[in-house]
Amino acid sequence: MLRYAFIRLLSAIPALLILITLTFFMMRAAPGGPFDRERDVSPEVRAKLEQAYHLDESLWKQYGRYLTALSQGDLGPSFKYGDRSVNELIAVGFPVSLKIGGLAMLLALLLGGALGIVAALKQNGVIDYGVMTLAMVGISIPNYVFAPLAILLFAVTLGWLPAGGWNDGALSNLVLPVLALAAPQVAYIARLMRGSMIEVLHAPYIRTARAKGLSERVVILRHALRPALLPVLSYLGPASAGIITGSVVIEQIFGIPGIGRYFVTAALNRDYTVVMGVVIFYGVLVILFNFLVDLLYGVLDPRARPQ
Amino acid sequence: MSLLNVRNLSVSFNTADGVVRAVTDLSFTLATGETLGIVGESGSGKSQTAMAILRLLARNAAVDGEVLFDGQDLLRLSAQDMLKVRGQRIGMIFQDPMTALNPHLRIGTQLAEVLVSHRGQSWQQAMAESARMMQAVHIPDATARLQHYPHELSGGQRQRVMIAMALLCRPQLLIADEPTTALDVTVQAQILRLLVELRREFGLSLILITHDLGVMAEVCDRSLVMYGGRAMEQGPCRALLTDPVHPYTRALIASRPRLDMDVERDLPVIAGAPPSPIERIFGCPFAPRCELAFDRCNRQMPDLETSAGRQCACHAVSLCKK
Amino acid sequence: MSRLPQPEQGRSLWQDAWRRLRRNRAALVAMIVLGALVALVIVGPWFAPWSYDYIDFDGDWGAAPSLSGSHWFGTDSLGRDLFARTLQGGRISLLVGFVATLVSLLIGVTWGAVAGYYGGRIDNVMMRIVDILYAMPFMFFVILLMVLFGHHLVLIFVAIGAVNWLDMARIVRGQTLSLRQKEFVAAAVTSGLGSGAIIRHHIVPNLLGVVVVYATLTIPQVILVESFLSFLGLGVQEPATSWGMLVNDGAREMEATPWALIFPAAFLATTLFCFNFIGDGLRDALDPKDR
Repeated sequence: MLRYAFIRLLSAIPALLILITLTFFMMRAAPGGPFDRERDVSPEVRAKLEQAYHLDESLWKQYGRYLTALSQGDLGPSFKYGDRSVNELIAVGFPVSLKIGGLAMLLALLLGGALGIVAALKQNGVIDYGVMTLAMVGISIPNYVFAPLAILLFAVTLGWLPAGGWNDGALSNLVLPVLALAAPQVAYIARLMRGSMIEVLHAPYIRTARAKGLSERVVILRHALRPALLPVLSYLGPASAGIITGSVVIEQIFGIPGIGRYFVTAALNRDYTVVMGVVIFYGVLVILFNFLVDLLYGVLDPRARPQ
Repeated sequence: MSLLNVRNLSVSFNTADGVVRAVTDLSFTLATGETLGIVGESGSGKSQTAMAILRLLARNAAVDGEVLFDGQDLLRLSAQDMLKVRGQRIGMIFQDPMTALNPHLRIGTQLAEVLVSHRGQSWQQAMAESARMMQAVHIPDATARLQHYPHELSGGQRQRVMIAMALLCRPQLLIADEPTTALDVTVQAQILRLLVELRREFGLSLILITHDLGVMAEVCDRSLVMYGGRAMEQGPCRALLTDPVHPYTRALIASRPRLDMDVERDLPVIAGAPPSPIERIFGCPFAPRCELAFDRCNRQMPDLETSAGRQCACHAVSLCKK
Repeated sequence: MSRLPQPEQGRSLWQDAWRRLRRNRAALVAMIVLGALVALVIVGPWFAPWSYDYIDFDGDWGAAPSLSGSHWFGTDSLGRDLFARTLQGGRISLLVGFVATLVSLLIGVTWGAVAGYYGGRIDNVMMRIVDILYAMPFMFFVILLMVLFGHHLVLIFVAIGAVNWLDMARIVRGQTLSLRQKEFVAAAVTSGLGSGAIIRHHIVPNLLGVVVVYATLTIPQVILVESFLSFLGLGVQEPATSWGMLVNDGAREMEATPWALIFPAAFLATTLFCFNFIGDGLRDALDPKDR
């Protein structure tokens, strides 16, 4: 198992390298530098600034410098907020983003999984159609449409919940953003879970389990649930990416001080190091997450285990 | 007294393409300790018959008739009571041991759970008894094998596990649906021998579903030949093989390859294809492919004619005239 | 339950699929609604009383929708006609949806067909690359591209298309692998046809089914990505607009002019809804499994 984990980890390295390299060179290939918009900068000051940020060196040298710093976990200073490093921005923003992202993921898994299973067991029944219609709505309404509509209804019209703000993560401030972030993932997981459960229920080994006289509860919980969960498990990687992406707009809409909001501001201001730092940070996160999912897959599916 | 008495069993499926008739008006009996072979091509309804007896058919199935097991009509039992019949009084083994065992659970779990749920044994007790049953089906190193997953076993061993699983609760009846079809030829013989041995040891009644006349000849006392969801001929195995009456049975026996024939030149083939299960057939399903068929065969299904322990359904030939 | 033999009938795969699709009421309704919507978006702007970028100084800014007046969907906070803007936004969103899907289709089908056809080490390397790319947060790349190279429509097509081909490549590869085993491909190989010709004439036509299904399911994804970018202010530029941008504008003013949010949001959601229903229907029709 350790060896398997090690091999899996090794195969994550090229992904990381590609991510970093691509990000770096794309950044540098872009027309216009970060100081272009600051009109009142004299050529001398500009040269000084570029020197301070090593922008006057050759590309490869900058790349090497960035890699060296990165290997020590240093994402460099922010171009726009000279006094703050990217690491600090992430350190401040990540706990906030993690809180809503983690809760959304948990909600998506539990609610989506449960809905999918119920729909599969009642295939073609009223509940099934209801759940599937709801799921269709879920995947068809993007969260940046869902979020403002939810604010309009629950905050503006009904006044039950605050329209935005963080308030140190108070429960009432969490409800709408987490719901909006989770909604499409709940829908995806419900559809996936239903499909795979139905497929597993048609498997020959389920027929065997029934022929043994096991109760329906045992057949489903002991025999069907685990294999049916495998496709959902594989989806966790893309799901985490989806939630991270979604958090960018959700944080924007609700005014939540997470990484996503810094990211958008930085993207619009061409704050290179922050954009790059966030892309790399989240890239590493997604790659690591995929690695963990792979490991978990090995635990859940005996056939995937290395012999 | 007969252990199993199937009367006028019909099975059909509601599909998007129409009603599919899998079994029509099938009747047969099985005495205690007897072995019945059900023979037919794929699609002849033999597997659906077995599934109908255990009520394991897909949800879109409609079943009609009676299945009297020990005097009780299984088709009218509550779902709860049916659970006590499956696995406990009737065991079943399936064609492909590769897919019939759950790949995600250890062999031991899959065996022991039968005893845990039917006998209320503790897992520990159940494991010990499972190991003993594994030895009875000649799996070496049984206790260690319990910890393995199905994919770590060979096909023959998996089928042995399936058999052990079906026998754990000492059922009165074992239904084996093509138990050797998916196996290598040498392993086939071993599994058949095992079935014969266990039948004696456990005093089993056995229904063996097969498309292989050789398998049937080796194991069965009596045979039922099915075609297009209906019984064509029924009788003692030996008599059926040496002296077939129904044109379909005769064609089936004639189309078996033998060592002394040149397959390309001598092997007779039954011309045509099996009937579509969707079209409603009023006559004999074999009529379109039958050499002896005349117009009445296409209009009306012949009745089963009974004589001296044999039955045959054909307009063209008769048991008595032979 | 063992498989029942299928009746042998001379119906083609496509006829069968069409028959099944017509029975799927949800997909049928979705097709009609989508057809009407697309027609409205394409033709509508010519008949709309206002242009999408004209500021109506005579009317109220942020006027409420009214069927009696000329601003049927009302106006936005700058006094521009929302009906015209919603249709105009739809043109961009749909255009991006179709063109970017085409891009992803071209890359994905080529990649998958080549990997699946040649197999062996080529397949290994190519699919490994797909695996690696799969683990990347691609949305951030698109954002990065937009930030760096400006918000060109063409760049939007290419960027979205270029990151969306992975699923298609995987599916096409799987299908090609199984097609590779079929007799007619073996026959083509023995008759000395070149690999390129075999891929073009024998493999790709047989992939049509899955490709159609997944293209239908890719279009809404692409529209989502575009509106996501526009929502962040990284998509098309003012005064041009797209549904995502309209939703963003509307969301900012939703307390004063909720219609500016609701109309574009409804158009966007309806379109995505229709595409998803049609895609699901097509999949069930072409690949009839019991689901």
